[in-house]
Amino acid sequence: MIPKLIRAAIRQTLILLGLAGIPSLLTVVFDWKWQAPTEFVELSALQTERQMADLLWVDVRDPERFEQGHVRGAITFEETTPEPALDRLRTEWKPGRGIIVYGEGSGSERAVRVGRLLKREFHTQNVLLLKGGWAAWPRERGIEGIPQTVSPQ
Amino acid sequence: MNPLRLLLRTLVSGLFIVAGLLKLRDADLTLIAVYQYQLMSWESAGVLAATLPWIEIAGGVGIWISKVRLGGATLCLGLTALFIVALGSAVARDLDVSCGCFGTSDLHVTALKRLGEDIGLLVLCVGLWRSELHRLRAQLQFEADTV
Repeated sequence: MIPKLIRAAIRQTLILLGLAGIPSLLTVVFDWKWQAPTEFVELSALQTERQMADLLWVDVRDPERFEQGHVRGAITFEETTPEPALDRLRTEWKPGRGIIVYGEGSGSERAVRVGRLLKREFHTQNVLLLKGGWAAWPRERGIEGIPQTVSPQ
Repeated sequence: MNPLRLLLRTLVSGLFIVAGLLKLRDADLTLIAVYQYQLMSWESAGVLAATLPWIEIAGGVGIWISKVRLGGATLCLGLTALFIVALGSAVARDLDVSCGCFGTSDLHVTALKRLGEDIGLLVLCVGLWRSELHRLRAQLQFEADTV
């Protein structure tokens, strides 16, 4: 009886996987998002210091992580209570000025959502996402905040 | 029909169908949601993001089709176990992930909280799976007896 049940479970699961495979295959063939969204930008692509300074930096990580260290001048953005950050961005942002959003690491979902929100709010396409996020930020370029770890020396 | 079984089916299938549809609605975000776990390349994440919603829907719908009911319950159970492993690994690696299980509707839910919810869902899935297994066993027994 038990082998029969196991066989039935496997057979039925395979049938369902096969059925799910048809639309999946069509999606993969015709609408495969196999690359990072185009808004992702490598730090090296921001060629000059001026280009870097002209950008408004938005940090979407948890506030505690922001306090421990962030890109100099970055604005902390809490998705659950976005108004304070949006108010600050409204005062600092001018048409033509780029905004760059970063999360914790590569492909932060939160950074993508905030990036979309900022595009809608400011009616601009000039919102970039930092590829690699905070983890990709070279520490020698400057960090604000309390260091995460304190060396015993 | 056993009301508890009906409730389990409704809950589990509803959750999986809704989760699948929400992922299909926002394919870009689904891709990011998969990639942010940092378990695979963009290319692999793309394939998984295109496949996962359909598997969720197949599992959720399968629970209601008598010929593949146990298969549907098995898929839902397997997917939940997979989500727990992925979320657990993200929590263990201290990744700042925001689940992405239900598209943009769960942005307030942290990975740790979602992990707790997924464990609850796993309990429901195990209950449903066992119930469907018993149903099929009884059916096979009946067929054997009548032959």
